[in-house]
Amino acid sequence: MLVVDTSAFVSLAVGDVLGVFVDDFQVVTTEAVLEELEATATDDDRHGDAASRVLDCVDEFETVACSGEPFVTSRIDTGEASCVAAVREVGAAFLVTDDFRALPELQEVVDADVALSLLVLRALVDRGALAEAEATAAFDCIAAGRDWLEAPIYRYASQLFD
Amino acid sequence: MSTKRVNFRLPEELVTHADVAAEVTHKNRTEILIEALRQYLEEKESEEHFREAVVERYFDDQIEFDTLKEIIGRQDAEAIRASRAVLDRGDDLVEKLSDL
Repeated sequence: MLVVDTSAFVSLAVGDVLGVFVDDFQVVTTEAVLEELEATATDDDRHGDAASRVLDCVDEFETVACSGEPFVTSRIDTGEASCVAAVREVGAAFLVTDDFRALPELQEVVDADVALSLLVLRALVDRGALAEAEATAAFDCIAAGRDWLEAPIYRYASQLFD
Repeated sequence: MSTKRVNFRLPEELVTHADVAAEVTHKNRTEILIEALRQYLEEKESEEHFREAVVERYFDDQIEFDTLKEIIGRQDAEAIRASRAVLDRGDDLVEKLSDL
């Protein structure tokens, strides 16, 4: 079971692998994440489109109502904090996030491994749900247009797709 | 604050300018140069392409974490370090994900 936050959902939708992902894994998220996706879906850009697509398949994953208030910090937002609480509630093995800035603090408070969406891509290949070329194409889409902190991370990660 | 002696050549007119600035501000030449360098680095380090290049050097093991932290700040440096650690564990994490 994976708990997935807003950033990871948007990445997987941008990479056009959302359908495969929710089919292949038992995915859980929170009401707070859905609210964030609803807000993002109003943006007229690729992230807005991606958020809409996640909301369109809301029946394909489980949503829990969890308050993550104790875990909110300057870097952990409401959605992520609710996911920390959800991991504890459902006993998930992983929290999947693409919020690199929140990663150190999330790792401190979450009772599970923290994974990035690009690692999910690799796992989908290993599980036979995605072809190597599809995963690489998805990675390239997800990695595009990143800021000064994230772009080097994706370049470092690209070795996983070589 | 520890210091390090450095030797470098400067264009003569810059040295003259620095000496005039030192006289006018009642500082010495070294203080003027230190102040100018601090200001330059502060401006440079706030530029995104500069910060990105510094992060790349960390990933290439050309600079240590402490240097990264001094330039881009503690929180962002910790985010970079944590991301790298997750990716370095990538094979293990992918295996665990695959086994779910």
